[in-house]
Amino acid sequence: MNKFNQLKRSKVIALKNFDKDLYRYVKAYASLEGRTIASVFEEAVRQWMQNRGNMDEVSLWVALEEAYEKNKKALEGIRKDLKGEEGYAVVCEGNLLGIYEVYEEALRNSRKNCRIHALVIKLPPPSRESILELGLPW
Amino acid sequence: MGSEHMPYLINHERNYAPAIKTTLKDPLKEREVGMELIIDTGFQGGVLIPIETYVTLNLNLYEEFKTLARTAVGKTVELRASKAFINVGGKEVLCSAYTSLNVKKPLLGREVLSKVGLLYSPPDRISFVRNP
Repeated sequence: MNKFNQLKRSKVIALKNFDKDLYRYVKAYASLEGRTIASVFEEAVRQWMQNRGNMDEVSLWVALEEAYEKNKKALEGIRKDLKGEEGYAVVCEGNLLGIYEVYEEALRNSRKNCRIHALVIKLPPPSRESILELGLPW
Repeated sequence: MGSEHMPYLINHERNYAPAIKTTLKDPLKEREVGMELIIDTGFQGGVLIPIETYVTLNLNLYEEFKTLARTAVGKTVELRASKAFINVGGKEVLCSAYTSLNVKKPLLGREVLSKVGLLYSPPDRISFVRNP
């Protein structure tokens, strides 16, 4: 196990209202097979995710989610300072990259300097989320 | 733009789902992807595409705040939002581009229909089968 994996595994996860009998069975089987309970859960969850769809897609989504939350938090942190500003703010890797007058200029700077994710927000930033009609639940 | 140049494709296996061939480009027009989209008049936005296409077009580097989308049965889904150029029948417009996890059918919504000036006209002849 490399350092990265050790860091990934350092978190304790508690499950509420889990079936007691099922947990006892898992514990018994894990002991018989000489494995940890965590490894049994991981195997079960991986299998469940394979049935749900593409693992690569989920992992890409999770990476984008983390970067989005970081950038959104950074933007919320400077919202007051952006009052009165016009143009487009670019936020990436948790920092304000800059404010640009023209949309294309903001995009070019984002492409040049950002790797995983960037927010390109028209100023002033909207105060609430918009709601869209999606149609049928495809 | 004559209708003979831009027919929607009728896919018999999907109960005549109106599909259309398009080219999607990132807002800087550096990357492009050809894609068949299903016209969905219930979808208010521009295009809904799989996350893989979204990332291929680098749209993750030009994102806006997420949007909440409500389906016809009231279910709410969070969508990632960006902008993309779409070329339909030689006409190119900038539209909103959305993605979510597990998008199975890429959609073209009313924003593009309105900007491109597309009229969705279902088959004009309907024949009834007496003994199906």
